[in-house]
Amino acid sequence: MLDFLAPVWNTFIFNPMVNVLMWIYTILNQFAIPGAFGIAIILFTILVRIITLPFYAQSQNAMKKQQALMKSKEWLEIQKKYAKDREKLAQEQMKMYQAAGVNPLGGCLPALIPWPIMIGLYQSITQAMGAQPEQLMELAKHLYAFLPQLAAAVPVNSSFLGLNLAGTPDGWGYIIPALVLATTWIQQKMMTVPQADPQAAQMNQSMQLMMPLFIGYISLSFPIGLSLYWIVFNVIGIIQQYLNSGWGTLLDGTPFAPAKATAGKGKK
Amino acid sequence: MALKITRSAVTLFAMLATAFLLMGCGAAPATGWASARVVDQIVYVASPTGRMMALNAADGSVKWQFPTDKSLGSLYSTPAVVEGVVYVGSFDQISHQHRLYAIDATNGTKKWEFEPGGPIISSPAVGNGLVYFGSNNKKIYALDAATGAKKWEFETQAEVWADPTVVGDTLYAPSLDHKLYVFDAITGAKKWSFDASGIIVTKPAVVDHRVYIAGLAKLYALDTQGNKQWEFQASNWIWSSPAVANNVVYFGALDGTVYAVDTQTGKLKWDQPFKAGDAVRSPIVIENNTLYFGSDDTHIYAVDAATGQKKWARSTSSRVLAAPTLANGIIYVPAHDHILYALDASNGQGKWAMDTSSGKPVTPVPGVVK
Repeated sequence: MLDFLAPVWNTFIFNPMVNVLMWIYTILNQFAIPGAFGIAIILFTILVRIITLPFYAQSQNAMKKQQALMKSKEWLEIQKKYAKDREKLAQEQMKMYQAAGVNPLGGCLPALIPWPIMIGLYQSITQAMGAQPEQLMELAKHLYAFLPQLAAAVPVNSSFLGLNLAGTPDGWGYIIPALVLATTWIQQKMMTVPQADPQAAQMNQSMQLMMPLFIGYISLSFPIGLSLYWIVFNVIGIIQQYLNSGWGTLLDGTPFAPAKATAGKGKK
Repeated sequence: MALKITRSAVTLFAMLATAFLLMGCGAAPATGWASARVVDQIVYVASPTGRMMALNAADGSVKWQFPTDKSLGSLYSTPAVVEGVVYVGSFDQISHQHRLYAIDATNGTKKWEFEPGGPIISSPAVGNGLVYFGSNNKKIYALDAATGAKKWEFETQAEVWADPTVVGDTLYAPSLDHKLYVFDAITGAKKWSFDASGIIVTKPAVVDHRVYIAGLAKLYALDTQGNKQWEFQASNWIWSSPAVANNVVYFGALDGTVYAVDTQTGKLKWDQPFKAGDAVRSPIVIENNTLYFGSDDTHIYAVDAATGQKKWARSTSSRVLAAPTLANGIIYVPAHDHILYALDASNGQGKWAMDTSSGKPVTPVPGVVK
């Protein structure tokens, strides 16, 4: 039913990604650099982060504005005033958002951007690795003909720091899902916007638990190369978030803080 | 209400959507593309349930299955049937127990098994009392055909997917490390190797003291000492093993082009290469001056070997990556959804079809002839 989407996806997302990834790998491989495909994934992730930087900057500014608004005296006052009238509270909050020029969904973009990229990279890694014969066969349809050196670099060497990037974790490789879980949690915690509304705060708490566990769990069954991407993506995000907003709610002493807004806390 | 749609909720939605997408894109299980073999009116074919099946060639009824109590995983390895024994390799993503099996062709009981330590995609070749095959653990093996005892092994630099070819006391075994290795088939001593500058996934064709091998999008003709005689540049990767008849070598490419190249000159024989609607991975089979092959475009083709003109094309229920097998004027070919077709080779009309996952006949035979 969605077959018509495949050419669009391949042309604009998958084909460019797999070719850039293979191009970086080919260059590294020419210099016989050990773990070339792992390094290619890391460099490729950094490249993607740079390309998506404007989106992040925009949404992080929106988040900062939102955080400042939620710590304001007026905001806290209406929480108390309309504590028993949730509909009215919502209306007043919306008015305050509009008055302050804040889009409450403005911080969503950073959370959404990684997903299509992750899907594209997942496809790129699995097809480039050719863990299944059909995947390597399909790769021929996606490598650009004007870059014949990419095809000549097939099959990629999937060894990186003693790990098989095409394989799922085993042995000491289980440290990879653990790092995925940890870095996802840290970034999630740093990005949490304090919520005065108990329901929203509760949802934050749930997400801080569910999201890292979910990502950590699926990384157990995915190629290690994908997890490597996810770790690097998170680490860069953590650095970026720190430079923008400090540690946020990371150091508030609670692992899954409801992050209920209180005046005077957090980085200004 | 609008305020309750927080960033967390959007993230949760994205997370669930991604989970569904990741399950559906690229994570599909390996399906296998083993071709069938026909010996003494019995069709030996792999089922998607991970079993070898022996069917009566006349009507597709099941004679036996191996094993009956478990799955072997995915079967890319086309069985070799020699002197009453079926040899087949497995690719088991679930148990990771990849083995080469020797099965009694008469009743489907196991004679022996060998575990190389890596998935087996290459089809075994039998000769000199030995079974030869490659594995994803980068090794080429020679086992005693009677006992399964290892006689020799050779480690290449990458996975070995291509089917080896044994001619007399010489073994030709390509690797994904871009090289064709040639051995003394008895001792395993390496005679020579040839660098094809790209992955080799096709079975070498050895005819009239010439070796034909494809590396990426090039077909090479070598003499039996490994000296290149000519090379031919195709329009895409060649995954269809070259087939030789009447001084012409035929092969398909992943863009759907089928070529006929003069074995002496390396030049095109037909005015125009034949063009299928999608990739031709299926090895080409030649009989009665006709080429038979399948395509990713879900068709089985019969093409005049002299002119490259289509004789007939039959649509099927799925892509066709396996090679057709001919016996007594009937083509047997499994599609990628593992419906096995038995077609009249002269006109493509269906004789019978069988769903090898259920072991039940499919009526009427899917597809039409054009």
